[in-house]
Amino acid sequence: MGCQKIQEMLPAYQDGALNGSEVKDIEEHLLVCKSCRNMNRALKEAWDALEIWDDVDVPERSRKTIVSRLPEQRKMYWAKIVLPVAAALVIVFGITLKFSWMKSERQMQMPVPAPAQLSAEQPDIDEDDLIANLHILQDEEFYDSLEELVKIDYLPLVEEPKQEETDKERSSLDVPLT
Amino acid sequence: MTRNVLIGCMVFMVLLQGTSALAEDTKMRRNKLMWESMSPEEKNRVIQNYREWKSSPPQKREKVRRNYDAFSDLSAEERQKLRERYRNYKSLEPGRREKVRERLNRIDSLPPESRVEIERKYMRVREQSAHERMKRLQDSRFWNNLSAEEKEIFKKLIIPDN
Repeated sequence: MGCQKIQEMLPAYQDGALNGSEVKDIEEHLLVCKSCRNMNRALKEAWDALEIWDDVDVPERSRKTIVSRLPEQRKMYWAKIVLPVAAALVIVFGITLKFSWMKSERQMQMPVPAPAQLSAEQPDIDEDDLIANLHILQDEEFYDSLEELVKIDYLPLVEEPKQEETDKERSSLDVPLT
Repeated sequence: MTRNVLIGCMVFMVLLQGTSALAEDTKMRRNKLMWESMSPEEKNRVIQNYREWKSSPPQKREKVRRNYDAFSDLSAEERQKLRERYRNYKSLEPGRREKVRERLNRIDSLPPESRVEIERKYMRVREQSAHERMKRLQDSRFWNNLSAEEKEIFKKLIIPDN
């Protein structure tokens, strides 16, 4: 194993992250190579120096300066997310609108045979309008009576008049239900 | 903060407009396909409906549109129930249907506080099973005031899938 490779592996060696054969290779190499031995020592001294350092409190003034900048950073973070999303949506919407506009333009320019035929046969029919409302026209009577159909559910919940009043009322009805 | 809210509102409006435009386009395509696949008889029936539709007052058209939207918002189960109820309702003889309508009109004539109370009760009944609703119906004063034949009619209308 060459010096370059050994020196690359030295941090992992000091962390104890290497397997047995790699450790053996490195240790054998360190016995015979002065420059790698020096590098290993320097690295160890650097780590030892880091360990003896005490944590130092951040000066109050610096802390205030950093904290005062935080909202600005947060605003920038939102602007970085929200603005591109908004811009993308506006672009998508613009493309959709343009596409719809082009489509309607094309429809206006191109003769559509079926409506012309229907209009020729039945001039009072606007086929486009008919098609636009087809989902309702197909079942108009149903949708017209929907409110009544829903209201049927409420009937058992309505307090009926007392039995005698009901009998009196029923006898006065012209068209009996039965 | 205000700027974020404004941007959020703008995004929401853009999204809403885009979605509704696409939904409208999809509806038109679906209707067109449906129209093209209809038999001449069906087309004639729809054309007849269209003529009546065009000659009806705008309020009625608006009401029907509103009802269509309300129906679309229901669950598949509720839609099925209403369809079934409609078939039963439509199969009634005109005189009987008129009498049912007459009873329904009584609900409209109730004072607002009673209607609120009924709505409150209905919200509870809605969650009940068909069996529970049937039991509640049979315990109601409304039910006990009906004749045997009326009971048959209302049973079909109130719980069509029973």
